[in-house]
Amino acid sequence: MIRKIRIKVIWKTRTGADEPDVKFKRNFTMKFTIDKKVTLFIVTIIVILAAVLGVYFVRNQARMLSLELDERASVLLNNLSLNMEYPALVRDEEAIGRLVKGVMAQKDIVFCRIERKSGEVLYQAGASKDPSTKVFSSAIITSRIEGEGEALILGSPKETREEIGKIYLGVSLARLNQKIHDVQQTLLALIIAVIVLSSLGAYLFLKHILGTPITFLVEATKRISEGNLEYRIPMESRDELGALANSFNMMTRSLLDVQEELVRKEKLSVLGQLAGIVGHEIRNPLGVMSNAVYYLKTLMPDADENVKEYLDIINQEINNSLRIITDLMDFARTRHPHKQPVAIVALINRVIGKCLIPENMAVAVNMPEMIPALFVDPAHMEQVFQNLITNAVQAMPSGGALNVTARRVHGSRLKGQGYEGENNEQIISNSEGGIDSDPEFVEISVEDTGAGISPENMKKLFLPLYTTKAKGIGLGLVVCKNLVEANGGKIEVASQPCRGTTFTVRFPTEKEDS
Amino acid sequence: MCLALSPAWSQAAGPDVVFAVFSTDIAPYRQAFEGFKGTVQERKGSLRIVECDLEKEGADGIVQRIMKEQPHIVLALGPEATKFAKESIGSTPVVCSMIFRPQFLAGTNITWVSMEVPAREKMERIRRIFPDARKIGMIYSSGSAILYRETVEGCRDLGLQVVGKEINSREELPRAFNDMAPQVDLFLMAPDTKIYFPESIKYLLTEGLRKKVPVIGLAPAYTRAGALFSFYADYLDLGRQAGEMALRIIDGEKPQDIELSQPRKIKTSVNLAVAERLGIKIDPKVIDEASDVTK
Repeated sequence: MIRKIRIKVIWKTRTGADEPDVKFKRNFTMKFTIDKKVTLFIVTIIVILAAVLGVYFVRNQARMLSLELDERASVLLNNLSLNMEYPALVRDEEAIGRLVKGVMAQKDIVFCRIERKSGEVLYQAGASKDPSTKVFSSAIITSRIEGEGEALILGSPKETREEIGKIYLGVSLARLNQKIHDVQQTLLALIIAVIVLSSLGAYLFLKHILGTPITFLVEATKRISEGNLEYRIPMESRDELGALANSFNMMTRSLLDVQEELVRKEKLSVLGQLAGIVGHEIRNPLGVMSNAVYYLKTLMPDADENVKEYLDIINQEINNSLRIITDLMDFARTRHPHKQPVAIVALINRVIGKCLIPENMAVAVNMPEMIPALFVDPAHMEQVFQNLITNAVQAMPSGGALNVTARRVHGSRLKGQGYEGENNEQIISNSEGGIDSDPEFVEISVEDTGAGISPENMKKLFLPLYTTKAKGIGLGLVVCKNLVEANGGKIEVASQPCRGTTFTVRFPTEKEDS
Repeated sequence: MCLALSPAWSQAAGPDVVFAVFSTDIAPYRQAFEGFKGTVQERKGSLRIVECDLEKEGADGIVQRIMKEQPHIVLALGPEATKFAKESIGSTPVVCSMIFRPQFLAGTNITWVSMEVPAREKMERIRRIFPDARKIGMIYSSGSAILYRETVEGCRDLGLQVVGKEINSREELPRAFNDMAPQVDLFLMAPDTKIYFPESIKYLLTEGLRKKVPVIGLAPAYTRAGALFSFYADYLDLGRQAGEMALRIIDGEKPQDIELSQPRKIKTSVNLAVAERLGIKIDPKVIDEASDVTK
């Protein structure tokens, strides 16, 4: 598309030596871009058109001026011829001279000669030395009465026209030629001005509407080929090129998404493979370490408080590691749920009991007695709520309020994914479209009063390996989602910046599966 | 060219044919012809009148037709036709009209009606129209000298004086007029083709206006071209006069026995624009009587 013209310039040294080692070589690359090509085409058309029109105009003008001169000379000649009839007939030189003088006073008249029919010169004024003199001539005609002139006496003369002489009029073409020359010069200057201005205008215009957008597109393709999928073409025009740029930007955005998805899937694939191996290999040593801590505590019931504290820390970190490994393994391969009726109130209380709740945090469990039992895998549910409560606790490092609420919901409907709830809440749900025909379900909410989640992060919340925590690996919520769904439930999150986040899990109040 | 068409016109002439020979086909001749035709056919309705144009047909062609048709009378309109009749038509009676003063016709079988307005008549009219005029200029050649003399004679007792100048060629006319103009109150044109031709007439009329000398022309065309007045014969009546002569010949009279006649009706044409230009006030009565008025 872009042809490059390479111009090699050899700079000679001051001494003028031509040796290759003292030559300065510079390469200039001049791009013969499409706007220049179109400009060249337009300029060529304008030049041709201007040339044709110019030639036509000059010729036409010359013809008109020449005709005008001929007409003027013709009028002069005709008048002179008419007035010359009688003086020429009676050879009245005084009258002839008077008439000729009148004609000679006119512009461009070089000479005037009156001749008789025989060729004898009756009168001459001026001379014809100028080679650019055009000579016009006209006959002097008189009327001759036929017969005895009886008709003349009766006022009805029968006239016969007779040539009695000739008038020669020399007209100088110098002024005419000068006029034509002036017209040519003016026209040439005008054409050059038109060509230069129109070329410049066309070039600037084309560069603006064509050259610059194409440069952007070329630059964009170059950046994309270099792997920069973040690059966007900065164009806002509404023409075809603007649409092309917009499509290009959409394409790169899609490519970026696809690339990110591919990378993520590749990571997940590797992670899945590693999780099974590493998790199995590390869980056993951790189990041994946990047993050892338990043994040490048993052996040293009166141990120093510092020792006890450090043993607790070791035990806590072992539990954290076990949880991570469990997450990894659960993520890699979710176990088939072994569903059974589970009293959700007892399950929640048990999970809260297992979690480490700081003292500066107020925990409120709001569980009505009438909440029906859920038909779920109790181990899965413990893991789900443990993850959610742990996240809530970690979201409030400076303390706050943790509320766990359960309630029965009738005739409700799960909302779609990613909508704005009441009080500007950003709500993310794992529901694909909602449950239209579910008449009753149980809803358990885990609510914190932490910093909340930004809208950008909300979108990635349930994506694997996404985390905002220093110690997390970004699998907790993914595992939660997988486990809830495996048990026939839905999970969603609502958050308001600076006010907190609420994770809600819903399960239908189904009976035991057949 | 001279042919003896018939030894005795009365025996050989066809009873029903009259030849009308035009010198040339111009409006005044045509008017005279219409007058002749009307008068003749009023009494002799059976007469057939054959028209011939001398200019177009030539003398020989007309002679052959006359020999074939043997007309009763030949009407010659204009000097050329009159000359042709005299030279080419032997004894056939000829009535001429639209001529001024054909002295060469004396003693032949020809009679004619002159179209020349008598000099006395002209002078009387001038006296009446220009009561203050005293000197009348006139340029003439040897051919029209008799007319000059008649004009001088016609001025007698009218308080008018003719200032005449005889010239020998056309070229002398402008100078003669320029010399004469300061001396005269008006200028009278003479029917003399030797000195008058279109350019000199044009010059005369133009210079007359420039020098404030009223020019008396010869025909309405002159008045329209710049003359103040023209006195001229009624061409239609001239034709009628010729027709009456023809009837007398048909009735048995010999042409040479019929007296020559002058125009019975004189017409006047006046150019009021020229009068205004010259600063001359024309009596409304004169204008009313004029047959042709150019405003």
